[in-house]
Amino acid sequence: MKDVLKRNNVTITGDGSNVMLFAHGFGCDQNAWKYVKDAFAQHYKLVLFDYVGAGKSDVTMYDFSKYASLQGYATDVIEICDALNLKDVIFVGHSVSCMIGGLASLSRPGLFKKLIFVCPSPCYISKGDYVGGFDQLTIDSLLEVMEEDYISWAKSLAPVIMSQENGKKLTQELSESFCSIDPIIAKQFARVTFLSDNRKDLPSITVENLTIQCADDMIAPVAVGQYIHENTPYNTMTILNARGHCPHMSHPIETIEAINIFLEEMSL
Amino acid sequence: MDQGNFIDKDRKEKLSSKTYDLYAPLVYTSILHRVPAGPIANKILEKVFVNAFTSKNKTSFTIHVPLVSLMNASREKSNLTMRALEIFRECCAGTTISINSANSKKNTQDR
Repeated sequence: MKDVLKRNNVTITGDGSNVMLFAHGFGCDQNAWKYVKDAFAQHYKLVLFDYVGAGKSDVTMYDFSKYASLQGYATDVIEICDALNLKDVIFVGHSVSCMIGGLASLSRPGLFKKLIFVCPSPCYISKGDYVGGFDQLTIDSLLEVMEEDYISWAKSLAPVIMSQENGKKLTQELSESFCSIDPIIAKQFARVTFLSDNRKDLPSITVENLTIQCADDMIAPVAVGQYIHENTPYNTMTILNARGHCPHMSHPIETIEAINIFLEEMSL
Repeated sequence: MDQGNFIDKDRKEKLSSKTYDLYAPLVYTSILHRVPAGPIANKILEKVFVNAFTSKNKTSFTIHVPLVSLMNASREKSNLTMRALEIFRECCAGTTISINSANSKKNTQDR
């Protein structure tokens, strides 16, 4: 048990018998939830963790074979729940974690009571009639750039990109946020994430689930959210009037509200 | 001699170190229209020329007008690189990313 909790740097806060498990996306760690988690602390036990390679996880536990697919990460999510003896969990995942949560729910039916997907995508590359948001050339280029000093490069461009779209105030707020990743592991995580295709798994999900979609998201455009909504049983879709891929950081109040409405509706 | 060998020979004759000396400043200027000066622009310039010298895709590089081909390649590479970095930034919403250096060091040693 201790190994799993140490491996994924699991932190537990909040009061309440119901459990919310927060799973961060690619390029982040559990700090990504800092703007929303406290809103649920009064009524829920909150479990946060870092995927191996992110935040303060135990990077010595990284296994290239295990994490060559999203199923490896789903196994970790299940192991965290088992280590804490959790059941009827409300899973809140961002980006790639949404499909990780979906896969975990298929591997362990009954473990989750609800799945909340924040900016999910079952497949990032457009294929046939499916609009994923990217073509293969763009994803290949992303993976090629990640062979370079991509974190420093991205940092050097951050003020330009952020100020163009979100304004100075938001740029300052987000600069106070902080995530940590291992660049070598992040490269494989990026490959696994952006080359994944979990569209076939969506119809098998039997847990009530919510898609929180941003109106303007270059990583997971509205067409992707719509695809998930149409192909996943028991899915509710909420479109936030927000730009970007991380509304839990850029628009936390709207994100909290969307989650609360879903949880309240489901409890009726 | 088949046509493929003829093209390779022609290519080698026209793509020499002089090609770099002659065209690199112009290509670099083109790159700077899309990418800030510094390591990103330098790497793109390097890749454009390495690809030109080593690419087996003859159709993507018109040997008789090397400058046009180099400019086209630099434009595409610059755009794709900036797009890739934008995707990475979007994934973390501008959050300050730190490299977990202690972990990375240990990680490298373990392999």
